[in-house]
Amino acid sequence: MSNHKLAPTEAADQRTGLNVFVVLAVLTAVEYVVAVGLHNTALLVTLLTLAALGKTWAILVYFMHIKRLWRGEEAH
Amino acid sequence: MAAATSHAPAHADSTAHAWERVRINRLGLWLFLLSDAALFALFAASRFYLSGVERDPHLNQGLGLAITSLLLLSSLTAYRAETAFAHGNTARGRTMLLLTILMGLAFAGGVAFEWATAEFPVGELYGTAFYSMTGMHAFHVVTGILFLLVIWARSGDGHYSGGPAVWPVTATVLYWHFVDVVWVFFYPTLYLVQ
Repeated sequence: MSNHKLAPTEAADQRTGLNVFVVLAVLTAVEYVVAVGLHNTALLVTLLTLAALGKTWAILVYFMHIKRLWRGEEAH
Repeated sequence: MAAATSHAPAHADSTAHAWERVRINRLGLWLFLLSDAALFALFAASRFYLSGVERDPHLNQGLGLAITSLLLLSSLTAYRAETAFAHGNTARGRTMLLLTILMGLAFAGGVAFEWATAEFPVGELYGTAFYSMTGMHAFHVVTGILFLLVIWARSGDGHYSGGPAVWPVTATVLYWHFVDVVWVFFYPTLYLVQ
């Protein structure tokens, strides 16, 4: 297999990874902007917690394949 | 001919057995990660107990954002390495592993720089929390880099090409993502909350 031309399934997996990374990057940027601009501690902690939980969910589901725990890797 | 046909069920049995081992190993790894997560959660709780929600002015915000972005990007390359090996694309997998290792080293270097330049007053509780949390996390980053290096060195001769043989790569990459998840919580806890 060429290093430059990917099989369709591998290319789809790589696109999924890129999409997840974009979501993670956007959430991180939002965290930073909110932390710099917001001075309400309760609201800030709530927003940062929600962003961290969203990022964790994306990593667990798409990068760490947590569903394989009950479905098995050979099923994907 | 008869010998050839009798080999097929034996091969299927051996593959099924290999997948069964992967399932058991995966469960064991997740249990380890869960227990490790409890440790990190206690570190984060102690930070709030020691210094409330105050943010320390000595931290370098630009550096914090930069190393966070780097670690997130290294998760992408680790994921790409795993999928490449799963599809039998060893060359691409090795390249992605190497990029992940380099970004991990850069992250560790960033933390070391922060340690060297942050000026916490002696006895400040926030400093205790900061050094404990980043120190423990950096230790995990360094061990993750060592695991990645071992996998990279062994992958040259096609060790991990497709099927259950990819498990060592998957396990190492899982560990790397876990280290990333911990930082997802540590970054706002240390740098952003105020």
